[in-house]
Amino acid sequence: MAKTAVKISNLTKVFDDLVAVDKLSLSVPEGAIYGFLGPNGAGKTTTLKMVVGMTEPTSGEIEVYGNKLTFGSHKFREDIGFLPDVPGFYDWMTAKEYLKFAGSLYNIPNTVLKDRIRDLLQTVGLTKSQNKKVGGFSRGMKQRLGIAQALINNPKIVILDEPVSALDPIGRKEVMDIIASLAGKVTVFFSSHILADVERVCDHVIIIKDGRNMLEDSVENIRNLSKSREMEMEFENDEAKSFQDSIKNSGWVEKLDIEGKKAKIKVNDLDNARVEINKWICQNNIMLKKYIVAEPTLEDIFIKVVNGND
Amino acid sequence: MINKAFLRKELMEYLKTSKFIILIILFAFFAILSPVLAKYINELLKLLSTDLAIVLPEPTYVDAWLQFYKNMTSLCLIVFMIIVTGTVAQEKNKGSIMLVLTKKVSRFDFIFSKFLAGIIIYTIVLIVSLLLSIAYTYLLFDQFAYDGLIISLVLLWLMGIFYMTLALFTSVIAKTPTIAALLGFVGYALFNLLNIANSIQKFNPAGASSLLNQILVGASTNTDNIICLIATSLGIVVVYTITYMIFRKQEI
Ligand SMILES: Nc1ncnc2c1ncn2[C@@H]1O[C@H](COP(=O)(O)OP(=O)(O)O)[C@@H](O)[C@H]1O
Ligand SMILES: [Mg+2]
Repeated sequence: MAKTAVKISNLTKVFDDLVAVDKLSLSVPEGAIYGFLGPNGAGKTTTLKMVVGMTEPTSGEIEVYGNKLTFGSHKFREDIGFLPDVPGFYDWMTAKEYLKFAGSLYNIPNTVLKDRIRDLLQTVGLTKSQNKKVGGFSRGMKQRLGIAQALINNPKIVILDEPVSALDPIGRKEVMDIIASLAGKVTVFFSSHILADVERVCDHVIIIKDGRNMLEDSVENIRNLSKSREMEMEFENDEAKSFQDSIKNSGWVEKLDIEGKKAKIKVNDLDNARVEINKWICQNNIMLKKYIVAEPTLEDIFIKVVNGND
Repeated sequence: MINKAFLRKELMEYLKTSKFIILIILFAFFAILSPVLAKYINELLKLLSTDLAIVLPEPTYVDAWLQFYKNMTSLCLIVFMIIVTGTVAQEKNKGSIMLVLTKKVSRFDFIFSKFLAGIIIYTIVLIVSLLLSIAYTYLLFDQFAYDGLIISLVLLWLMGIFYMTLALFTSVIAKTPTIAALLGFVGYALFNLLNIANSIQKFNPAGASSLLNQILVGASTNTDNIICLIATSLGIVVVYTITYMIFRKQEI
C-alpha cells in the first residue's frame, strides 16, 4: 500500500458567516499527481493555505506523512514546496538571485544549491532569462519561476495553487508538461478549475464545491463520467422531427429536446452518437446549419455527480 | 537564531531599491543644512526684508543643534517611517510574503528581521548625518559639544526606533500599503501631539522630540531624561510585542 502524503480530515474554515471549507476530507497518496478541482470560490485556495500553514483551520485535522500539523509549526517546511495562486517575487532580484535566496532560506549548502538552481532553471525553461530582473517577467515566466522555487528544497510534496489558470494555452501546456514531468519523483497536489488540464496529468482527482467533497476518484473513472456530452444541431429545413424519430430509441440518447429546426441532445457515448448521427445525415441528404459538440465542463460532471449521488 | 538569509534580503532590499539612497541623501542634506541655516538665517532674513527693525541675536552652535533635532525628528523621520510602513504591507500586497513564510522563515524571523533591518538602516543614516552635522557645526561655530549631548543622541536614536516600530505595526495591521502609510502618519501626529502637555512629555515614548531642546538649554533634569529613556524603550518593546502577537496569528 502506498503511504499517504497528505491527509485531511473534516477540515473546516469559516470566515465570519461564510463556510469556505466544509468538513472536507481527502487523502493524497504518496507519489500521486493529485488534482484538486472545483469552480471559482469552491474553497481550493483556502484549503491549500491551511495545508501550508498560512491560514488557521476552524476545525478538523491535517496530517503530513501521518504527523499532525499545528498552525504556526515549522515541522514540515523541509518536506513541502508551495506555489500560491499569484506568486510574488522581489522585482529587484533576477530569477537566479531569487532561487539563490529561496535556497539560502533552507540553509542548503552553496555547492548543492548551485547545481540545483542550474537544473531547475533548465527544467522550467528559464535558463536564458536567469539574469533578468523578475520585475520584467511575464505572467508565464513568473509562474515557471514559481514552480522552480517550490522545488528548490527538493521537497517530497509540491503544492501548487492553480498553476496554469492565468496562462495562455501555450503557456498552459508548457507548465502542465513540467508538472507531468514530476510524476514519480514527488507527490504533486495541485488545484485547478480547468478539467482538461487535470485530466491529462493527474492520476487522482477530487472535485469540491462550496467547500464540500463532491467526488474523489481516479481520473479513469472521472473520464467515463465526462463521456456524457451535450450536442446542438440546427437544420436548414424542417427535419428536426424526423431526426427525433430516428434517434430517440438509440441507447446513447439521454435527453432530446426539439425546438423548431433546432435539436438539443444529451448523449452518454459521444463517439457512437457521432458515428450514427453522421450516418443518418448522409443517408437522408440532410443539410445542416449548425452542428456543435459542447466541451465537457466541470459543471456537467458536477451535475452528473450530484444527481448520481442522490 | 533568526534566519540570516532573510535578514540579508531585508538589508539588500534597502540597498537595491532606492530606499537607502533616498534616506541617506535626505538625512545628509538636512544634517548639513541645519548648521548652515542656523549660521546664515539672520543674513537671509535681512536680504528678504530690507527694513528689518528687530535686532536678531547672534546665532550660536545651540541654534545649529536646534535645527538639527527639529529636522531629524520631523521630515526625515516621517520619510523613514513611510518607507517602513510599506515593508510588510507591500509583501502581502505582492504575495511575496507567502513564498517566504512557507519556507524556513518563521513569523518571528520575518518580523524580527524587518525590525532589525530598520534599526540597522536608521542607525547608519543617523550616524552619517550626525557626523556631518557635527563637522559643519564645528566649522561654522568652532564648538559643538554641550552637557547632555550623549543622552540627547541616545534619546534621538531610541525615538527614531520607536517610530520605526510604530510604522512596522501599521504595516502589519493595514490592508494596503497606502493605508499603512496613512496610519503611520496619524501615529506620528498623535504621539507628537502628546508633547504639547509639558507634564506628560517625559512619559511619552516620543517625548524626546521636545526634551532634546530642553536638554540643549539646560532646562531638563537628569531624572526626566532617564524617565523618557525608559518610556521610549518600553514603548519600543510594547509596540514590537503587540506587532508580533498580531502577526503571529494573522491569516496571510
Ligand atoms: N480571507 C477571506 N475572508 C473572507 N472570505 C474569504 C477569504 N478568503 C476566501 N474567502 C471566501 O471563501 C470562499 C472560497 O474561496 P477560495 O478558497 O479562494 O476559493 P477557490 O480558490 O476555490 O476559488 C469564497 O467564497 C471566498 O470569497
Ligand atoms: Mg483559488
